Amino acid sequence: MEYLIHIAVLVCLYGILGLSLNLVVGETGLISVAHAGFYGIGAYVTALLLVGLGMNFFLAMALGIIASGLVALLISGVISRLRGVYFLFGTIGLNIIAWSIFLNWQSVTRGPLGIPSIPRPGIWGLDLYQNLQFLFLAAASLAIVYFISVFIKKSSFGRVLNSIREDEEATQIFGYATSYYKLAIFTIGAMLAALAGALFATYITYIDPSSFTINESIFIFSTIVLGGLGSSRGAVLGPLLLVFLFEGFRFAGFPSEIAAQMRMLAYGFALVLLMLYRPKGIWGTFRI
Amino acid sequence: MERVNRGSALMWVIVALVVVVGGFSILGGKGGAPSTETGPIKIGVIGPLTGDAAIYGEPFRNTVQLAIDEINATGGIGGRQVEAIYEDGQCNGKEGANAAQKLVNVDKVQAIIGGVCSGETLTVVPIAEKGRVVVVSPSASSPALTGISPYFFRPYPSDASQGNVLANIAYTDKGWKKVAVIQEQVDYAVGLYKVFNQVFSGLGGKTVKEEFSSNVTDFRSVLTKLKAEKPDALFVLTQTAASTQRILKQMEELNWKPQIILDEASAGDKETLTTYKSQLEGALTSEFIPDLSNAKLQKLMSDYKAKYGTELPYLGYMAPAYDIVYILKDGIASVGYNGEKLATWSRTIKDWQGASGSVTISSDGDRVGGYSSEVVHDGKTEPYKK
Repeated sequence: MEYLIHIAVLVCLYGILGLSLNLVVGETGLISVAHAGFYGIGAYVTALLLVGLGMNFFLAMALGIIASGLVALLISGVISRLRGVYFLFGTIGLNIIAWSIFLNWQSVTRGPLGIPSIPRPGIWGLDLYQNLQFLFLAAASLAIVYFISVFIKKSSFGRVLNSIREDEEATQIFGYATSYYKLAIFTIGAMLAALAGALFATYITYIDPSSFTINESIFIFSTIVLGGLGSSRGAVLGPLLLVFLFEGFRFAGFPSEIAAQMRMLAYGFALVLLMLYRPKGIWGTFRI
Repeated sequence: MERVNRGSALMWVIVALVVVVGGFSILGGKGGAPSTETGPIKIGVIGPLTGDAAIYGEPFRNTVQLAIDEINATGGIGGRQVEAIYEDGQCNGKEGANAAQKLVNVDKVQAIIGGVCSGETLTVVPIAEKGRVVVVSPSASSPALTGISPYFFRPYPSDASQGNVLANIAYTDKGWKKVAVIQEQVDYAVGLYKVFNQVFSGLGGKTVKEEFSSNVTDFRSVLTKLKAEKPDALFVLTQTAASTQRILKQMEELNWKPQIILDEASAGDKETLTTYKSQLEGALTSEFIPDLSNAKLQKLMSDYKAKYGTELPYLGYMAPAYDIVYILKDGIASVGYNGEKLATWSRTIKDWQGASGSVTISSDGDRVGGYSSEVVHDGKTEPYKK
């Protein structure tokens, strides 16, 4: 049961990451692989405030979210001018910069040593040290992010995002300053990713730069492609399936000499099959 | 439109299948507590079986399996066979936590061997402690693991021990006041530098440090900068001998011949010592290298070669990995297969003789002693004498 709870918490975390990235990639058509960077900023800021200053969890999390939002705002001032594959390269660079800072700013982040013993949050005297209680917190956060995502999608703001995705120049001709819209949604996505980061840091209780590499961004990206770009349901379903698939391979009964390698292989193979037969993902409305 | 509907109906079926099969296999593995009295003794093993650190994970898995096969061939533990369940931790905190959750809560193991790196071990320990499972690492050397939990111990010394030994000799015996450090950006090197710097500065010395990331191959500018500092000695602090060799080669090109301090990762590499014999003459180092004349270690090395066809690499890590299996065997034989009892028992390990030498576990879970100081002479390391 504990193990299922653990997986459920992971599903919630990746659900939040998927939903927030879907706003950027699925709704606006900006191909971003910088998500793990913002996820990491949220995790690091929260962890440092909790460990260093013993701050209240929710306050630390809020500051983590704000920090990530500020970074995204500053950077997207530059990269929201980019389009298509150039935007993609911009975000690759961003993720690498974020990762390098986690790795090299040792006086603050402790570099490759990581930050151990991050306290679990307590809420109204209720200790969330138990995984089941943490799951409620994670699920509630997922629900909130889901509603934010649906709300954005249905708003007039969301419709402009969709039209940027379909044809940015046409949208500009109608008088929309598209780079501001891109900047706004990129920042919102980064802030929601930081929320997942704050939960991750306090759940796993240890963070180091290896959790926030570009590979992690690609994993998040692949979850929403599986679920279907432009679909909020898909952005939760994709992470659910991939996390289950990935963990499920532990039980596939491969011989022990090659079990771990087979697990990675089968996972890669599943992604290739998906791209071949269902490039739109499960509930996708949009294809890159 | 109809195509879309059919497609999504199909997808629903796939989703349902994955959830049902996944759920069933996860719950199925859990159903019915494994027989604790007669069935095989299941021990969890976590290591980097894939990813960048798999170069350590592969021999680690082989070494553990070698010991388990030996035990099973001679009747197991109290008549019960031993079975290892290997999970991939990828030297990454999250993967380590996933693996530990599965081993502790699904397989219900009472003991976990691993992780290999400090990063994965740091997340395994809290999960194991909650499930009252004992964790033994053969090679996680981070000082952050010292005293982390009563359920954790390691027959491998903390990096603090190595840093301490080197700093003391450098300052007190050698009289070096200023040491330049060229350091690779990996947790091992960072941790070791911290301890070295702390002890060395505490004694009154001063360090100047330049860092490089693991993929760098040109050290000339960094070395030139350090040379200009006119240090009494240069501490070459890397995780891989390949980097050390490049550094030494480029120092020669720059015609810089300082006194050298080496960490064990390079001092343990025969090729480095013989190729750069003249440059390294008199270099100070400290190793946790099991005594090569130890009969148990020799047997491990020859058995490993016979079984897997390659030389046993990373003796400093693999000898403890091999010993852990036998330590657990002794523990299980004396207190039974119970994580809580094994954890208490682990603190009573004293002068236990294994392939890595004499193992004594202190009350904070670390191996006592371990690092001994050495000097390089004629391409070989020998014990340091004042």
